[in-house]
Parts: sequence; structure tokens; C-alpha cells
Amino acid sequence: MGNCQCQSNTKGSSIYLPEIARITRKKLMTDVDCFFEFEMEKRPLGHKYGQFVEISIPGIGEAPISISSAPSSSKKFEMVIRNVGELTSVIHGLNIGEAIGVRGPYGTTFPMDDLKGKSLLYITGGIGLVPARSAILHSLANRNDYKDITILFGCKDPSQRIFVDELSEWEKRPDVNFLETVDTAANSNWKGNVGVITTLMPKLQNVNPDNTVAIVVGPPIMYKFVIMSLHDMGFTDDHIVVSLERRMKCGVGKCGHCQINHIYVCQDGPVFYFSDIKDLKEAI
Amino acid sequence: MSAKPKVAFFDFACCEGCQLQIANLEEDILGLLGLVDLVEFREVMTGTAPEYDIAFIEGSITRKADEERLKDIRNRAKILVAYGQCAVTGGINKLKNLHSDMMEVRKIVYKDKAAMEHLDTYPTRAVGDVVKVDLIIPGCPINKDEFVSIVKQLALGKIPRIPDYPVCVECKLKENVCRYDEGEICLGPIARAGCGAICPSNGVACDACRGTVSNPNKQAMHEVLAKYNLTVDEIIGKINIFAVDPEVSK
Amino acid sequence: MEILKISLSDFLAHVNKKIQAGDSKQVGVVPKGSHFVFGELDEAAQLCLDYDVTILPPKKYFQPQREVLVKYAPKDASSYAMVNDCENLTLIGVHPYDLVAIHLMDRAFSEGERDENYMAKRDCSVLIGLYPTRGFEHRFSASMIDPQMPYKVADLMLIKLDDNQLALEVVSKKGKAYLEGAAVAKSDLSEAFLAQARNKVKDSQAFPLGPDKSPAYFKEKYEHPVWEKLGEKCYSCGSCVFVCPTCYCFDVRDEVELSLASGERVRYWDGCMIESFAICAGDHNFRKERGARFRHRVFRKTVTLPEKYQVMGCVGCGRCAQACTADIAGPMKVIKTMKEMN
Repeated sequence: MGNCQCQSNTKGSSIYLPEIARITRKKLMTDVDCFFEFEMEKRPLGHKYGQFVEISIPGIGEAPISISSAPSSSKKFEMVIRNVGELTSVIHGLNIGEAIGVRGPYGTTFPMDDLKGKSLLYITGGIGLVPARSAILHSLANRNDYKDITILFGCKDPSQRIFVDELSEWEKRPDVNFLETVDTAANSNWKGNVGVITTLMPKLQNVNPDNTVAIVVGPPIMYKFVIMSLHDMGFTDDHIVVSLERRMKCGVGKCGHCQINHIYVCQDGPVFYFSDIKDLKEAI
Repeated sequence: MSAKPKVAFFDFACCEGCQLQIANLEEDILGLLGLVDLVEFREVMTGTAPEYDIAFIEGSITRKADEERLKDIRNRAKILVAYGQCAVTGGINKLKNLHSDMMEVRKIVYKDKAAMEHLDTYPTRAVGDVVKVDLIIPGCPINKDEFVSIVKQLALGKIPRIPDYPVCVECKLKENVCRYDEGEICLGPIARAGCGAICPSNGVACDACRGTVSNPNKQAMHEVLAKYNLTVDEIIGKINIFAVDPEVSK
Repeated sequence: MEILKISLSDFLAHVNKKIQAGDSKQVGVVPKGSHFVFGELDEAAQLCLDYDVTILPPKKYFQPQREVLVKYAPKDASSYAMVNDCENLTLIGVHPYDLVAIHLMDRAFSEGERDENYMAKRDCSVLIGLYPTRGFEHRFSASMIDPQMPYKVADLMLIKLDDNQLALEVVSKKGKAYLEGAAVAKSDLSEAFLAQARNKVKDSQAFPLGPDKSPAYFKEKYEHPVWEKLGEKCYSCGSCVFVCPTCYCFDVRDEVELSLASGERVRYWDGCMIESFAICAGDHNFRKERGARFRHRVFRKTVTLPEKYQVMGCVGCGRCAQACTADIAGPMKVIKTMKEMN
């Protein structure tokens, strides 16, 4: 090759070239979920609430992972990575100081600015708490910008709880209504609620659906039932915000893997007002 | 796997053609030997080992004694790979299962010598019918490039995946003229890819030597055959060669 | 637009000069069995200017079936380095529908996040279009493309006047530069004559909807039983999407050398008709049914791309209809089957 006439400026960059971030903190949260703090080598990540990055290990592969920390000007950011495949397994095995590849941040954000002056109802299931946490931390740090804040968290069983210190902090805060549940509590000394997350929703007596926006993040199966319950509570679709999980391979709206009809989840999402996607059959 | 994995090769009822593919890797064989510690491979070396990180099994299981030997290997192997179609589905050997009487099969092959004791045989079984298989490498014979790629992935600690889409995918990427356009019946639309569409690329219709994809569209196959005024029965010979999903013929 | 004339033999002689000069790969249509493909020319005499359709569209030169995006030393993230291989390329004999498809691909890869791997290859290319002189039973491009749109990407357009004469429309500076030293003459042909020469062959079928009407029409048919009916005959073999000139979906895989000392992140063609295409974490497949995948593909052509670009996402080349063994893939077949069912 080498005989080409194209201008070097068009070849100077690549949307597929990862940058480097190094592990600065690491803590196992459950048997499969590990908390990581990374530090970008060259620049602050500059992400917003609910966005994701493509993380990679050379020779293993690349995958989209949600950012868990609130936006900041620091080079540091946090993620919780579930060990579900070879890439995540290799990353779990990395030590402090070791590097991963990062592309992004990508995707739409929780509309926290638009939600100022409103009440917030976070409904999170399992590692759905990971992206939601970026918004939760922001709203708690800017508590006066929002009216009532309610946080629901549900997971399979007590051993699957993540961010446990923060969960108990939220529970103690007088300005936060925090409720959590586990699907099953067998073989544990769990004293709290048992049942799927929708069983918490009848307990929300003081939520005014007209002035509250629900932010729903969880496994695919959760959305349908939570949204039905929200409808029962009087929530309209434009007061429900969801974050969808898809196989966002490229993150830049090209590869097609995350496409649902006219929507590229990686660019038009992952965060959507439910009213914008309720007619997409393959969305929920 | 931090140290080089201990690797062994074994064969059962087969033509040993898949081993030959490996022995014929030429320059790549040295590269492979850099990745693994070869401890047992009758075709190319002497020596045995008490246990293996990866055991590659070629051939199908056709005798009680095979079963015992295979179970013993399984007990001593961390990862067991069935490679070649005989090991994966029973392959060509499984053609004999079309007969219910094994003595009849022996007579067809060995005529008046059929009663000799060492010709004892039972209906062909795939390796996975006898022991737990961790990974399959289909094909008759296996594709050398796929084999090398799988060993590399194992050495890197990855979980190798074989294609689960039809041969048409690889055929189109190579811009081959479709065998149907030449008036031939090709099993490419239901056959599992991974061979690089080697047969259609050389002007020969696919016989599905790697078996079918996990969810082949049998209904479509039947309709396409009907379009060519054929029934499944009329091409059953083609379907049977590699013991393609017997359901296809229903 | 300047219009020139050149004899076929002089044009081929000029292509031969380009081949011999060796500073740009000359690619044209050549026979393959009973079909045609775009391939590198060793000599101009191989060039076929009278063909129905090629098996694969010319997209393979701008988004190759296998393309390295990044290289690295395995497990060492600090070793990542971009790869962007391209070379000077001239594509000779691209039909108008394929030029429109390239225009669509250009938009998809340049708008939003700009894909330099694709764009660099386009920057290095000269596109010489050609009006078809041979019909193709599955083609319906006249009803799908705006006749002015091929000129958005073509550098030259060839019009075959007879067996020995070509008219040349010089569309761009690159096209003009390509002709430097060629035995061209000014054209004395009337526009009426040229218009007739451009439209020598007529399609035997026409798609009834343009980019303005198509999205609304198909959206209303989202629940139509046609998707399941045609989908149940689908092999999910991907032939229709791989031969499609406006399909550009891809997969990315990591591949390492045998030494495990170096590796590459590689882009491969992928397609929404493959069963595993929409699988996400937890093995959840959100387009599990054949019919849903079939609808997704048709909607991409008739709804998504027209809404995004105001251009039909199908250019009517007929390749999918030809490539589909089950005979279900062509958009004309979809329309016809819908009508039969109503």
C-alpha cells in the first residue's frame, strides 16, 4: 500500500482507537460484581449521567459498560463490572495500576437538568443501579434542585446487593425515601422486604405522578412490570425514563447491533423517555 | 492458564484425516508448539502423560472398550474437545446406524470374515453421547485455520466460539456464484459455517460436513427442494452422508 | 458538465496506461462463471462494460469483508495503535444504483462520528459510472433512485453509444484528471440523444412508493402478517444483506498472531438477518423470530434510511432477490405478497 492520495488529516484519528485508563481502586461487591475506579491517562472522561464507555483488553475484545460515578472534571470515574464473559473475567483479574482501553463516553443522559424542581423516583434492579447511581449521586449532591427523592432497589437475593454502604446511607438520610427488596431471602438472615421490585410500589403513598419522574433501570424482564405498575399509579409515559441494555458494539451508531427500528440505542439512547419508545415492539 | 497447557490428541473410529490436517499445518505447527506443551499424539510422537489441560478427541465411539478408554481420558482432562465430524456427531460412521442389525453391517463390509471377534461393533455414538464435551470443532475434515484459531483462543484464556450461521454467509463474502444458480442442490443454507465455504468456492455444492446450524430452517429447505421438483427423500443420500440433523428429513 | 467522446479502444488503451503506470489500482467488472464481479484488472481487455449486475456491490472496496481497525500487543492496553490502510483505486463501470448506494454509505460513515477507515478509502477512489446496457430481471432501480443522485459521487459517467463509442460525462476534477492524456474529443451529441442512450434498458418492474410515501406506508404495515409469512421461509443465511449495496452493519473481533505477541481488532461484515445479530447480555435476543428480522431489514430500507436521508434505502439493484434461495428477499416480492394477502 502506501501509494494513496488521501489527505493525512482524514487518517489522523480513529473512532475505534481506545484511550487508556488505569485502575486506581478495586473492590469486589458480590461474587460476580466488582467495583472499579479508573483514571484516564490523558484527559477527564467528561461523561454525563447514564452514559457508557466501550472498554477493552487487547486480544480479548470490547464491550459497553455503564459509568457509575457522577459527572466530574476529574480524570477518575467509577464502574461496576459483572463477570459474565471472557473480557469481564480478564478485567476482574487486573490489579491496581494496570490498564484497559476506553472509548467514549457515548449515549444520551438522564435529563437531570430538565428534572430540576420535580420529584424523582428511582426504580433500580440489580446492576441497573450502576448507571442510575450516576444520576442518584448527582441529585443527592444537588439536593435542593429536586423535590422528593425516592429510591427503590431490588435484587435477586441479599448476596447480590451492591454499593451496600451507600444503600444504608440513603436509608438513613431524612431527605430520601429509600426502600429495598430481594426476590428471595432463603438461607440468609435478611430482615427486609422480600418480593420482586413491583411489590415495593404500593408502599409509595405520597408520590404525586404529576410532578414526579420515574427513572427505571434494570434487567429486560423488569421494565414491562414496573411500567405497568407506574401506569397504575397514574404515571404518564412522558414521566417515565428508562435506560435500555443492548449489544452496543461500536458505540458510534454504525455497526447496527443495537438498532431497534429507526433507533440506534448507542446514540439515541440508552436513556429514553418511555413516551418516545413505547411503540417500538422490540424495545421493552 | 499461565504455564503452557498440556495438550494430548486421541483417536477412535475415524480415518485419522483430522490428525493429518494438524500434522500438515506446516509453518504453523511450530507456532502452535510454542503455545502448548504437546504430551501425547500417536500420529506424530511417542509418549504419554497422566493428565491433560486439553484433550482433543477424534473419531466416533463404536465399541464398549472405546467407551471405557474415552471415560478415562475425560477423567484426566480439564477441557475435552471433540474435533472432526466423527467425534462431533458420529460423522460418516453413523451411516451404519441406518441398519438395525450390526452383524448385517459387518457382513456388508467384511463379507465372509464378518464374524471375526475383533470386528465387534455397536451403533455409532458421538463423543458427546458418552462423555461431557466442552468444545466442538466440526468438519470432515476440520478446517486447519479454525483449529489454529481455537488453540490460540484457549491459550489466551478465551472461550472459543464456532460459527452458528449458514455456509451462505462465507460463500457470499467470497463472492461465489451460488450453486443453486448453477442448478445444483446445496446444503449451504442450513449447514454450519466455519469452513470458509471451501466446497462452493471450488465449484462444488455443500454437503454440510460440519452439520447444521443450531436452528436450521427445515421448512424452507423443503420448499426450496419442491421448487426444484425434489423431495427430501430424493436427496436423503446427501443429507445422510454427514448425519445432518435427522429432523431435516422428516 | 463537460461531455466528451472516446472510442472504446481508446478508452481501454487509456485504462491500460493507468494499469501500467501502477499508481492506482484499476478495478472493473469481470465475468465470474455465469455472473459478474468487480475485480482488479490486469489488462483493460478484461473489462466488461455490458453486464447485468455484480454478485457483490462495490462497497467491498470501501468497507472490506475483513478490515483491521486497531493493532496491539495482546493484554497491553498501552500498545493500541490505529490502522487505516488504503490505496489509490479506480472503479470502472459502476451502475447508477450502486453510485447512489455509495452516496448513502458515505453519509452513514461521515455523518455523526466520522469513520476515517471508510472515508480514507473513499478519498483515495475515483468512481467511473456506467449506464447499464443490459437488463436484469430483478432490477427496479429506475423507480428507486433520483437520476441526479449518481452524480453526487461519480467522477466520470460513461454512456455506451454503440459497440465502439462511449460518451463521457466529466463530473469532477478527479474525473477530469483521470482523463489526462486520453484520446477524447468534444461531443457533438444532443442532450435528447444522450438521454435516450442513458436509458437504453428499461426495468420490467417498478416499486410503487418513493422516499416521501414509503415510511408511512410501511409503518402502518408493522403488524402485517406478511412478515411472518415470508419470514418463516427465511434461512437466516444473510445472503440478502451481504449482497446489499446499502447494508453496512459489522461485527468487530480480536485476532492474535500465533506467537501471541501481536494482534488486531478486525471489522467483519455482519447482518441483521443472522440469528445471533441482536443477542445482548444474558443471551437475550430481542429479534428472535425470523419474521421480526425480516421486517427489520425491509424497514431499514423503506422506513429508517428514507426518514434519515430522504432517499430510499433500497436502490432497486435486485441483488437480494437473486441471492435469496428461498425467493423471499426482494422488496418487490414483499409488495406483491402483501397485495396477494389483502
